Amino acid sequence: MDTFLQFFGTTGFTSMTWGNAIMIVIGIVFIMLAIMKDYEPLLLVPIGMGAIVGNIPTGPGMGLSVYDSGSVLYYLYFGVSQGVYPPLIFLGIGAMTDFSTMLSNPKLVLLGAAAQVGVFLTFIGALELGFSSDQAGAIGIIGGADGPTAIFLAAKLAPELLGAIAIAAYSYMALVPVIQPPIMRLLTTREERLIRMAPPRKVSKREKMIFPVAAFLISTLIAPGAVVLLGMLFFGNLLKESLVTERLARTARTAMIDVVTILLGFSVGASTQAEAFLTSQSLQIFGLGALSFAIATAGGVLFAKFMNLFLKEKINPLVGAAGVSAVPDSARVVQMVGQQEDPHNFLLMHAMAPNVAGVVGSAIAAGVLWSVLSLN
Amino acid sequence: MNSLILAQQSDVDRWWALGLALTGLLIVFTALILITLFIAWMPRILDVLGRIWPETDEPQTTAGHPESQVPDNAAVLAAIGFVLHTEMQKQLAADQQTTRRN
Repeated sequence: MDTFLQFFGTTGFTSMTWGNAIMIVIGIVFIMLAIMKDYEPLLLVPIGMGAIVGNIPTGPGMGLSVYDSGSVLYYLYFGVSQGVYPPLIFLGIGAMTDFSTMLSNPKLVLLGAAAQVGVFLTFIGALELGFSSDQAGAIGIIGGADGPTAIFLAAKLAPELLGAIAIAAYSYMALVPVIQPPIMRLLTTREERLIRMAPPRKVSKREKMIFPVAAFLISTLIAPGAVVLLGMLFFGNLLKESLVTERLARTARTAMIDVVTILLGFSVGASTQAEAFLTSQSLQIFGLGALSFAIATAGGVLFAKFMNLFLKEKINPLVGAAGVSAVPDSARVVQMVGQQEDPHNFLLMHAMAPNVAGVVGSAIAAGVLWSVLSLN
Repeated sequence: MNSLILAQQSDVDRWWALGLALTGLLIVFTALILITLFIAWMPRILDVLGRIWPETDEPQTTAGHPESQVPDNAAVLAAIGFVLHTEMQKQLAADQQTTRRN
């Protein structure tokens, strides 16, 4: 009987806290959202399951969590805490990204820059709420709508907030179809939403091959902090566009990115232990993240309207909303909102240009914040 | 006195944060403007380059890598399936109309 009672004392039932129970429910909600609503299933299923695993209380001295040195989860989490996984994800993204639409209409690149206003305004907002400058930088990058970039910068600047920032970034990426449309409609008139854009020109193979090397040199010579993320992004794209490394490109965009996504999602989920995650700071981060997304969307749309003041061939301002990276969800949202006004208006191709420019823009913003804040 | 120093410190922090935000945004814009200009100029540069080094000289760039030329059976099957489905739907609709008339 004593042995049974001793064993019962080590079970999860005895040491389960309300916090653990809440996090397990959140994990289940994530899985349900992924399965029933199809919201970012490739991310929410691993994160949700990770949150459930990470919140099962273990007996004293067992040391099984991501924070217990030497445990299996600790080694899986190493790729997150040291910023190893995000560049590998960027390699895969590069190998699956087609920059053709951006190359055919270069002015749309600027929308990817305008949307980064969300990053920097949220940085100021986080400072006002009392976060340290490093923490504020890591929170601000949620507005870049790029999960790997957010994780990379949080791991470098504010590892103590990594779980909350990663969950906020991925949750809002999953909620792009909910957050963006009302802002897009609010800031545009019906006439603007009906604007049709000229079809993109054909881009030569040479242009596609030269672009990754040239864009890497331009962006990283200006912001060297972005060298790791952009280096991997453009390397992956060169593998795809060079046409002589098809095997490597295929591996990068399929098996490799899938493996890394599983490890990253699961270990980020497992890092959301109630005692580390359920804090008032996490709530503030979620609030700031939502604000950041909204500002970034508004920034893109308003800048497109501003550009229209000077352009002969007008841009549909909805396309500006795709400047928040979240590839390809925000581009899909642009297509959806555009087609609600005119079912024959196809904006997806055009929206992909600011969408991929947003990935580059958010990586540069992360590089700038990392360079400056790590000096302080 | 202490509160005055703290208030001044807070103002300095605020200005520093605003400065960093504006500089950061400026850097992002500068990088992407330069990329935009490069993209805009690239076709012209390649036109000149094409006269010296025509693109047809590179078989792998015009025809693609041998591996990428292997037909994608899944895509072909999907296309055939789509056409069959569309034709069957049309046929079904026509049959239904005929039945209604009768």
